[in-house]
Amino acid sequence: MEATALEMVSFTAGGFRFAMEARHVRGMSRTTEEGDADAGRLIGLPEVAGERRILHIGVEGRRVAVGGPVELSALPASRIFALPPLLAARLSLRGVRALALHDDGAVFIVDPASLLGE
Amino acid sequence: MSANPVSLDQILARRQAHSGPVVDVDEAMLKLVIVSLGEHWFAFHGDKIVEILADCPVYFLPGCPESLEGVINVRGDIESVIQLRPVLGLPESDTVADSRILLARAAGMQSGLRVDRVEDVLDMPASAIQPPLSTLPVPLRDMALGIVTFRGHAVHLIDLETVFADYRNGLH
Repeated sequence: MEATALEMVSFTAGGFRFAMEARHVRGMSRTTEEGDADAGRLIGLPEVAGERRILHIGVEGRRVAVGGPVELSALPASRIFALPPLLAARLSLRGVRALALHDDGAVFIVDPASLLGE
Repeated sequence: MSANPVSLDQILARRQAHSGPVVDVDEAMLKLVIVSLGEHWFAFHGDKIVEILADCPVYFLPGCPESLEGVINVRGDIESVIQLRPVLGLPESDTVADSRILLARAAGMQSGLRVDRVEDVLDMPASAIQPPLSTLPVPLRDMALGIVTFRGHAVHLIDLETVFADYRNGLH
């Protein structure tokens, strides 16, 4: 039995799946605006063309464009891990705090405050 | 006949007095894990190898160097998997079908190491290990602790402390 779970919002950035704690996300919209920050670029991956969603993040509701699907799910704590030390030392991406293991693969969990320079 | 006869007991007693305590001269043995990468054979100190894993799914993650294959789930713990070929300066090759992952611990870290095959795990006299060849190419020269002959192969004993520390520092 899982003792705890964390609400996570998962999305696509730079062609890969990422997640962040749902408590950082105030909402989501479909209307993009010029100047929206691209999640892939913030993380350090090339921007990938495609339909965008806007996540409104933090108390200021800063706009970050992500790729879909955007999903809200409860991730069991037993599936959340600190980064292995050699991976953490060599990782070229920004804002990665942890990783989650799903049945179909591993996903980085990013910290939006680090990504947005807060 | 001698002027000062001695008894057999006296002779044996003298022998006993001159002979020191029995010293155990068993040679120091090293446990080695011997692996191969193509035609190249390497060895690691057995106390650095936690486990040998087979058929372990590796999960790819973006943003990692090519030599970092991904992560594996080892009974609820996540470990990175490093490909040894590029780390040791060997040319790339297709992954062998029955390759293995050595779970190794060194330099205060733990990680998986991809090898083609585990050839043997054995105890070997420490004296069998000769100094590494000075002609070894870099980066192997910096990681080789010695060389030993096993089943007709020259086997380089690799220092996992250096491998892990250098990898963490981005040297490979």
